[in-house]
Amino acid sequence: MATEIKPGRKRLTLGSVGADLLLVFWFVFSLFPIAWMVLLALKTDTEQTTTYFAFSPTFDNFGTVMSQRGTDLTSVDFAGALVSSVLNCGGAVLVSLLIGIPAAYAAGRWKYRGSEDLMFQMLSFRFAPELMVVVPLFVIYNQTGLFDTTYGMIWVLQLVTMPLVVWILRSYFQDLSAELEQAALLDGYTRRRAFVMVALPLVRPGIAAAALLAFIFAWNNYVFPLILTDSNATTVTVAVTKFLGGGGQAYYNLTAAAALIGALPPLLLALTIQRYLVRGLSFGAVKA
Amino acid sequence: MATLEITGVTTRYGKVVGVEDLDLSVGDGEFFVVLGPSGAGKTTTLKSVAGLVDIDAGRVAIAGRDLTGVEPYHRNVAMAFESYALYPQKTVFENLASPLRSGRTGSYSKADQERRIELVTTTLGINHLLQRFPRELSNGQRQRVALGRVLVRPADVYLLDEPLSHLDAKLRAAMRAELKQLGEESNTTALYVTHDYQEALDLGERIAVLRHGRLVQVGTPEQIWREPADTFVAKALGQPEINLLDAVVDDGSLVGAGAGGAVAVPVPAGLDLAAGERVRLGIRPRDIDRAGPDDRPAPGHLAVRGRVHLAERLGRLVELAVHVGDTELIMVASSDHAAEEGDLVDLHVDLADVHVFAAGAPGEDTPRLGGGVPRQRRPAEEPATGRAR
Amino acid sequence: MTTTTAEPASLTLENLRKTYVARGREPFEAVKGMDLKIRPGELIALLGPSGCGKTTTLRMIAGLETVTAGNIKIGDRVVQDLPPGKRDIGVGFESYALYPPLSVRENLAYGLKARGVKGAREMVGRIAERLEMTELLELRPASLSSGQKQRVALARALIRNPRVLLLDEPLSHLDAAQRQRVRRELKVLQREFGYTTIVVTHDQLEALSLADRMAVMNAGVVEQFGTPDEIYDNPANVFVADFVGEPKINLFEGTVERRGGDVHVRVGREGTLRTAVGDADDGRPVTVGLRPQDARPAADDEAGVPAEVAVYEDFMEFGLATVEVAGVDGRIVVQTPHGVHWRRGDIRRIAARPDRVYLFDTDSGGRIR
Repeated sequence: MATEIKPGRKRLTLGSVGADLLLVFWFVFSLFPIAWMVLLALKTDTEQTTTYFAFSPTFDNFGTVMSQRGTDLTSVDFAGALVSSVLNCGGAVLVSLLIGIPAAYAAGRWKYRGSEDLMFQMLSFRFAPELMVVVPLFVIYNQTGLFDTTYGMIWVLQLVTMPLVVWILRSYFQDLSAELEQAALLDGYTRRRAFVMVALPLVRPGIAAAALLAFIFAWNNYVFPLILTDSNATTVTVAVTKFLGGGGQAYYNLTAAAALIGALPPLLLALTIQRYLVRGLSFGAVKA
Repeated sequence: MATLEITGVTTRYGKVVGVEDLDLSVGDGEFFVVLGPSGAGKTTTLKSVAGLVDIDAGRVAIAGRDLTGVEPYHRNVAMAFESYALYPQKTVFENLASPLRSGRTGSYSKADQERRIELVTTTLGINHLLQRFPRELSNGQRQRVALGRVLVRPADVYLLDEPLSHLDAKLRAAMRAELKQLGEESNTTALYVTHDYQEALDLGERIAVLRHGRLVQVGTPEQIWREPADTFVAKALGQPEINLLDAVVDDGSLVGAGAGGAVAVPVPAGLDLAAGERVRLGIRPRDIDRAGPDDRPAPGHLAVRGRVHLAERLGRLVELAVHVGDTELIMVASSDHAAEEGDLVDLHVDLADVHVFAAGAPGEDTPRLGGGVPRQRRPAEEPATGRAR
Repeated sequence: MTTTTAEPASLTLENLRKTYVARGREPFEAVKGMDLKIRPGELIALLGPSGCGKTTTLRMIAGLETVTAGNIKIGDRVVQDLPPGKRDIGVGFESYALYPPLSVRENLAYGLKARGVKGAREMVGRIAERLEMTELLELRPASLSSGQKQRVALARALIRNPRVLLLDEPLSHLDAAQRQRVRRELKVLQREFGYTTIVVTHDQLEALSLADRMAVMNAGVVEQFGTPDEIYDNPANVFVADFVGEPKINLFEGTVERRGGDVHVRVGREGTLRTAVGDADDGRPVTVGLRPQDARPAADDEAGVPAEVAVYEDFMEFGLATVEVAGVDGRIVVQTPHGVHWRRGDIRRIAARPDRVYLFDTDSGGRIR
């Protein structure tokens, strides 16, 4: 005879325990470099090359990196680099949003001869190794006076971020039914007002996601600032490496501290717009 | 209100044809229905009028004004989309207010807006939903909001794309009656798209039947029903479908091919058919009457005898599959005196209800040749005990 | 496996129950004690709105769902503890679920080969012959018509010569015209082979037209079990009356009025309808059920309800009048037969055959007879 069915409890089996162990191992393995960097950033100059876990932690390194003392020590103005990084990347993201949103809308809404090719070409900018274009760019920048300027950096980083923004937002606009804007047209609104009133608010999560990703990509870029800037517009990525021997000595503890500081702005940005991001990801996944 | 002229309109999507060489002329204040299966070009027709798709040839004119190159927001047409197309970030009230706030449909004070919205939402039974968002509504409620956004504003032409398709049966029947009343009481020019022949017959002052982007027939419900242009139209209207029987012209009669000579009707007047020519006879299930075994057929009636093969109850009606020789005739009868399976039944059909179509392979649609003579007057309107108003 | 058709078996459900228990939630009773005796060779429809327990019942019979309590018997054999493959049951699912790259023959043989049944080839040939579809065997599913696909799906359910056939919403994905054709075909096939068959559906028309007897289900309970005629002409309660029938039955308030030996019901301010109810207290408030198809103009000497036609819809095959009755909330719909036409604004007196005027208890919804 059949019996009442009781709520089940997950049983421990050899397989499930093994799978859990594997996960724990992977977790430790992937987190270890980050943990090591945090430890390193808290060590003094004398302890920086030891591999002991026991040491007397200090927060002095962060102060050193950000202050004149660090600059004197290593000839790197890290605080200045932080500011120009924010300016460069913020500017690049702003430019790519201003131009990229309308571009993505057009690309998502209208098909015309070669529209797919154009989109692919844009994406292929992301495939091309930066080193390939950086030398001619160096020459051009030198000739035009864009070398080592914020404008120059915004322009070149925008090349990195724009395709990203257009590609992400295009799929958001495609997922949005065109009939929503058509309804607005018949309600008596112009195409521009239909776009602003109907389409734009609905892709806000997509804009947030695209902006964040673009910012991170721009922030992490190394090759362009390395070649196209000197001291005025140089960025965090380049500045961090200078602690490894700019002034003759390698300061691993300062490098780690600088890298941690350098990782903060994108992290803070991600936390602030996380709300939009999660909604955005699910919004894009489910076709309305 | 205005007239609507569609002249030679062709709209393609790449290589796919939406509509081809379409001519329609809708009168001032006419409720005009476009009927067709999915993919027939119904929605494309509406969007061509609204200016939401680029037409490749032809022109659309409202009130005599050529709309070629005129932006949708300057056409003064309202459209209910089958997908509802409600603004997800706006409440029902804001959705309904949207056309009133654009400034292109007239200017409305806050009080005007509220009054109009109140009126239309009460009619549609959605006035308790004003503060909800579209995501919080059922499909039936969304569809009524979409309809409301159209009816809330004045327009030269109203375009309605399957506005009842997502409602449950009960609500659909009620809303259809509501629309019928609305259409009768107001003088609106409307182009109404549906795949439901009952909606078309009920609501349309005239009906256009579309297939594969082409116009098959235009006419009043009566004309479409009585004189279908071809077997496609005949089959599209009516449930159960019209019976189609192969027949041969023999000595002034059309003789059913499979029925052992049992189905034989005189060639309808005005039809010139040579002996031996093949045709198809169309008889609607509801035009077949059950007679008593001793009833003599009235003059001008076809009488056949067959055996009930299958009886299926459809509510008050029973659908009977009757075998006449080796031909099957589908008919409907009231369940109150229905035949049992295996019974012999006598069937009478008014010859005026027999349609003649050109011969064709099964599944092939062929044009109408004649028959199904339109009645001089509608079959007796039942006397009422009185009249209101 | 023998070549002859297995004798159709009876199917009995005794106090069948299904309770879903999920942690942190109230236990959900999907089927609350169902008793059903299905005769050999009968076609039964389980009809109900979604969530009424009809699919759960089917799945329990098929063995795809465990049984919380009660018995399932095929013939005299208790089967609820047997695995699905040992129950002698064929199941046809909602979608045809045919593998597109395989021919019909391969589709039919697939399930047999997977289970290692011997003689698959012969069995496929035999079922194809019986269902008159030998010419379809080498075709791929894509080139079949919907009726042919239905036949193939049926063949697959029948190939192991089951004693009971279960079909889950067999017609739901067809359009109206196809549905009508396939439905007829299904009924003819079932007649011919005499399988004991259960069809699950939410479409009342499908149940009425297909079934020998039907069970109308609601919230895990069978509200009424009977022939289509009984269900339609003699609904046991408001739910059955409201769920079966299209256009839907009119339900409105009324008051019982005794006139001599007859029970009448007072409707609105000046209307009365004669009923066939045997006994009811004078003045008792009731819910009146009147099908649009049963309402008709009253004869001169007959009790009736005066009504004004607010909307008249002409469908050529029939007409629908939406009428207003003084003192009755909402509107009443009257169906006029083929060839009869009313007009908006007409004043009509509505009546119906007394046995077609149903009275229900206002609170319980039960039928007053």
